[in-house]
Amino acid sequence: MISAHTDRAFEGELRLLRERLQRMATRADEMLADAVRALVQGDAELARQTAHRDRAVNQDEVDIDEQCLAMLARWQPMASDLRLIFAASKLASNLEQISDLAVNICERADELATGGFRGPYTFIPHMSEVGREMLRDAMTAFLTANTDLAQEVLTRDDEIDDLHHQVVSTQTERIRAGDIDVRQGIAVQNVARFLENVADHATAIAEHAIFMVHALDVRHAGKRER
Amino acid sequence: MTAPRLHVHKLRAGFGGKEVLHDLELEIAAGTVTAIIGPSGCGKSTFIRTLNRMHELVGGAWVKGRVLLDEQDLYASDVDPVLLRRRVGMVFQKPNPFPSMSIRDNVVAGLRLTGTLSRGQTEAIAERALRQAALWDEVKDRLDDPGAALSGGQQQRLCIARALAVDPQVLLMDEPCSALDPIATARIEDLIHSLRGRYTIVLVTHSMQQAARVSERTAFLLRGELVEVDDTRKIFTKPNDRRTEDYITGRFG
Ligand SMILES: Nc1ncnc2c1ncn2[C@@H]1O[C@H](COP(=O)(O)OP(=O)(O)O)[C@@H](O)[C@H]1O
Ligand SMILES: [Mg+2]
Repeated sequence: MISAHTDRAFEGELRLLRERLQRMATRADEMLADAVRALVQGDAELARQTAHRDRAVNQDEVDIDEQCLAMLARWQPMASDLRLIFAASKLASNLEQISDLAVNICERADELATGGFRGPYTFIPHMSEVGREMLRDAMTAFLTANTDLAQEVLTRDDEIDDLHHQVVSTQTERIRAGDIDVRQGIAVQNVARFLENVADHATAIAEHAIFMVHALDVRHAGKRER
Repeated sequence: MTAPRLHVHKLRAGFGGKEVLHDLELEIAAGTVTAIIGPSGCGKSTFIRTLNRMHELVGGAWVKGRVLLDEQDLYASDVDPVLLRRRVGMVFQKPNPFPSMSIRDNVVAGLRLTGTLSRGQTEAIAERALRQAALWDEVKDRLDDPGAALSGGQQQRLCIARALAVDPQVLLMDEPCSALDPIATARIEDLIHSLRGRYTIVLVTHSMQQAARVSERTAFLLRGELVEVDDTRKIFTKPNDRRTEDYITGRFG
């Protein structure tokens, strides 16, 4: 690990920034878990309650951006500090969008539960598990500057894509067979797409971790190059 | 005359038995601004003073190795150091105009030391140098006032004008803004931007932000060793050497 900053006030602000990012990530992750639980258990009330929690995440993003801006102005950081603060602000935006996706899932959960739909949600819980794990690993990679772990997150994007396709084809099959209502089948497919987007944000966070450590922008490199 | 490139090769320098600069190797492209950064006492001033042979003016000071100005070795036996210092001008940390000498005379003070010029020629040279130093508009109506009548920032630009008056090719600046307020500093930095290309500029600064703002190359000097030289943008976003990283992020023991 990097040695401590000579200015302890700056070191303290960096620590606060990391803590805020971690707290925000935990909030977004828990929202995601509850959104999927509300969906699978057909719990409209839980869905509504969970959706409301995105306000706290929005506030986190505002607070983090404000802190980043203030730190840039106050300390005029260089090199790895500069990259950390620059990346932190982007990361907060990824987390905020993850919480928006959790809200979208809550809306579908509410709609499906209210409409009396009871599944099955084949692959959805699994997709959610993989997506959340990617998010948690990406955050750990970022906060501990672990680029191996970040690379590992990047390779799991394909897994999520596969699961997404499986949900789509399974639901399409059920609609065709007349087992479920078209709109309900599409709602489930939407949830799979939201979860795929969650994984995209987790991937972006892993890319921020790599940028922070190596100053290497891997966002638009092909999968093989990175 | 066009700006030359500088090549520093196996440069060692010191005072008596003490070696301050160890085997420096540095290439400075023509017409660029290069910043020298590093902690106090690392040898920045000593280094910059070897580039116009001012270092040797101190008793016991010595230099080994080569400094090439284009193809010419500054330390070759046929080089006259006084003439050399006209080609390689220097601006110091504290503005040092002659306080009772008029503004105009301050600017042309370097010219007076050599050759004889008509009053008209002196006036023209003073105006050109003051314009180049972005000071003309502020002093054109009081050229006979003493140098001491100017503010610190103006005095520093007066010293830059004095250095430019002798038509140098290289401009060395040793922490030129350390005694100036932010606005006066911004004026000097703006001036450096406007001089880029016409002169090869080497700037010693203890302000990382200043180095980042005005230079295209930055060299990090530590205990008389050149740790890293690279594009300024690279140095301040992703330096190669851990010691550079520690220094510019303030993680220094
Ligand atoms: N006239 C001198 N006689 C002996 N040692 C000197 C003299 N001037 C500077 N030094 C020493 O040389 C080293 C480099 O000094 P200097 O070039 O002024 O560093 P910097 O400009 O980076 O602060 C320091 O250790 C300083 O003490
Ligand atoms: Mg010095």
